[in-house]
Amino acid sequence: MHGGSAPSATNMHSTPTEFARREIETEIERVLRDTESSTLSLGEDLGLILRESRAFTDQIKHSIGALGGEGDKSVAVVLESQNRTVAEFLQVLRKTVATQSAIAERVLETSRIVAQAAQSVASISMQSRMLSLNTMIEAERLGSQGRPVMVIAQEMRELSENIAGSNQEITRLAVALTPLLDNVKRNIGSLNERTDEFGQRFDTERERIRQATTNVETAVRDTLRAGDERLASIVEVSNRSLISLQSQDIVSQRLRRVISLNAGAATGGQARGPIGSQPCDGPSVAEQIARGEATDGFLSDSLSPESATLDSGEMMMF
Amino acid sequence: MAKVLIVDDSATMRQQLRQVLTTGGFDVLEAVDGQDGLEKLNADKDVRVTILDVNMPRMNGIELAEALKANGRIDAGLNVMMLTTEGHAELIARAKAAGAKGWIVKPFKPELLLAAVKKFAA
Repeated sequence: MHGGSAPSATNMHSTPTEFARREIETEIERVLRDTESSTLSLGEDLGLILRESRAFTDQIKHSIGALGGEGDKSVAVVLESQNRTVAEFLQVLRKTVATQSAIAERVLETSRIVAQAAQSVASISMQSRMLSLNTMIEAERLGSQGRPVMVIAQEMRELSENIAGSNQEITRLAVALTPLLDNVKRNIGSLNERTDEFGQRFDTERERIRQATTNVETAVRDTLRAGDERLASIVEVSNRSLISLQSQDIVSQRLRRVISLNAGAATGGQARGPIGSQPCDGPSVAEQIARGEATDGFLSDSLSPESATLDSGEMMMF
Repeated sequence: MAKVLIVDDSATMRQQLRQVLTTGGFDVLEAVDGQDGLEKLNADKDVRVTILDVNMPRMNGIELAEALKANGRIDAGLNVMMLTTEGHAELIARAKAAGAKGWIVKPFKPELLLAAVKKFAA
């Protein structure tokens, strides 16, 4: 803004009318400069608001938009990938548990068969011992002739005792193995049940996650749409503001026209517009006129106002 | 990125045009009057579109358009658009005769101006 100033030496020697004219010109020039400065500042701020709004909308699109979109980084894709991985793992786990359960069942059955076989072997061993005892009695009765038979019968008894000993060990192991295998089978069954429970919970959670994902996608779409709508609204308002700011230029031209008319009236001649905008530190409009630097008048000065064919804001393409 | 030269003696208009055109993806140059505009166009042959005010000191916009017609620049592909407060048929006819492609009366609507410049820059 420009403050008031003391009358210049030139003004000191001017007539009151001339002094007043120059004062008017000076004030108009101040108004011109101040409004231009304010308009430029407003225009700059308006541009900044627009740029920031666009940058913010773009940022939302690139961050939140990526999460809610259909790309690799979207929540839906990431969660679905995780769901697939867990589902595949569950499938493998169920298959493995079923296989282990079948193996445990077969081992248990085999153990029972071994126990039964051991009982058969015990019976055979008992019969062998009885047979060897009877043979030994008969060999004793034959005396020296029965000695070779006695040796064989003793070997048979020793062999049947060894078989009975081994059979007892087999039976003991089979008996001991049975509860262990039962335990393994129960554990595998329990694991199978837990796997089923987990699978059911996982299915329930997966549905909840899918619902939540859908909600996120909807929220992101709504946010992006709202962002676009708000940005469009800001652009529309800023465009209207831009049009309003342009009135400063039109007003400036009219004020320069006033100065031109004023200068023309003072010299008894015609108005000498248009006078171009000058930098704030350049010569004043009055000085331009005084030095004859102002160019020819408004191009429309010599034209009839009725010949205007386009109004403000209108456009014509050739 | 197409180059656009704004020729207007109003800093306000230049600023607003620059913001609109920059947002539209254009490389924007500025000149403060017709003479300055002619010198900048002579120095830069890549400018595709120029937007000219009419009432300017030293050389007005129509004189600049006529100079560009005379030196062959318009025939070489430079697109000239007039942007002014004037709307008189005689002036419009004179600009058209010089080879201008369009005439817009201030205040301009940003979206319309941008659409026009995009059309000519294409």
